[in-house]
Amino acid sequence: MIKVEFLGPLGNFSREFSAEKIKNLNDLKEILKGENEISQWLENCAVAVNGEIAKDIQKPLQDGDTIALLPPVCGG
Amino acid sequence: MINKVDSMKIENLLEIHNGALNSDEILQKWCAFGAERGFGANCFFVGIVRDELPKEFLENQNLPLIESSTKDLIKNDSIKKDIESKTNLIESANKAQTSNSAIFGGLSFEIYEPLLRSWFSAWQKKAQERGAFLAMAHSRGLVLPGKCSYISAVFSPQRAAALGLFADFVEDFKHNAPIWKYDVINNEKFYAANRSHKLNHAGLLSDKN
Repeated sequence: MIKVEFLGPLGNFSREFSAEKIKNLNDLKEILKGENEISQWLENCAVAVNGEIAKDIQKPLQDGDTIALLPPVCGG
Repeated sequence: MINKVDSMKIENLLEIHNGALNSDEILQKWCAFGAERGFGANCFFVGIVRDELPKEFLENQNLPLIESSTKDLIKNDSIKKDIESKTNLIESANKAQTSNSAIFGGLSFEIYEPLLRSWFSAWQKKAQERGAFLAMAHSRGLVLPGKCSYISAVFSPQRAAALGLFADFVEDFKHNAPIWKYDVINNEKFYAANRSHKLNHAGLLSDKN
């Protein structure tokens, strides 16, 4: 399974997807853009795969990966 | 000098605390850290939660306090539109308004620790290349007004390296550390959208890619 975390103001929850269903980040994008509440955040969110910011939409995913959707940040 | 520091557990120089930081204790510990290892130029940045309503709540004094803030928060860009739909900000703000006062209760923080640790490690590496070392402590959860939520430190043998790193590190922290801030007003949390920054490569999953 691949765990997807929706962080910060997205609500701090996670969902799991079959590794067969999302082979790369583009597959995840196709699923999430059909979900109204999440899709409106996609333009502002960065994506981390296993704790590293992803730069490539075609990045392959593997069973056991953890993906995080990261809305705009402000520490301090 | 750097070899001595290398032998320490570097990951311990990033501290995450529940609630406010005990700044006296942390600063004392870090001053000793610098002194014991012969670092002669050390900088400390201490962030305190100001006891005041956020600027966006105060910009338009002619309108009811919470209503104006709500309009300011949601009228301009896509982030604000997101806030409107996702968190029902208007509804929450109106509830606060009916209480006829807006009481600032501090800031609340959420942290994505895996990414914060990799961000900090990358900065630690940069600092070591300049003969310096970094430390950082940040709060998670509620921090009351007047209390400390953030401390960062640069330890260096030389003033120039310390001061150069200090400004860059604190500025990059504001833009790239995966931390979400909320204003706590009348016991409700409001995402600080106006003060937040998109991370690098934001929008990777949007239709623009």
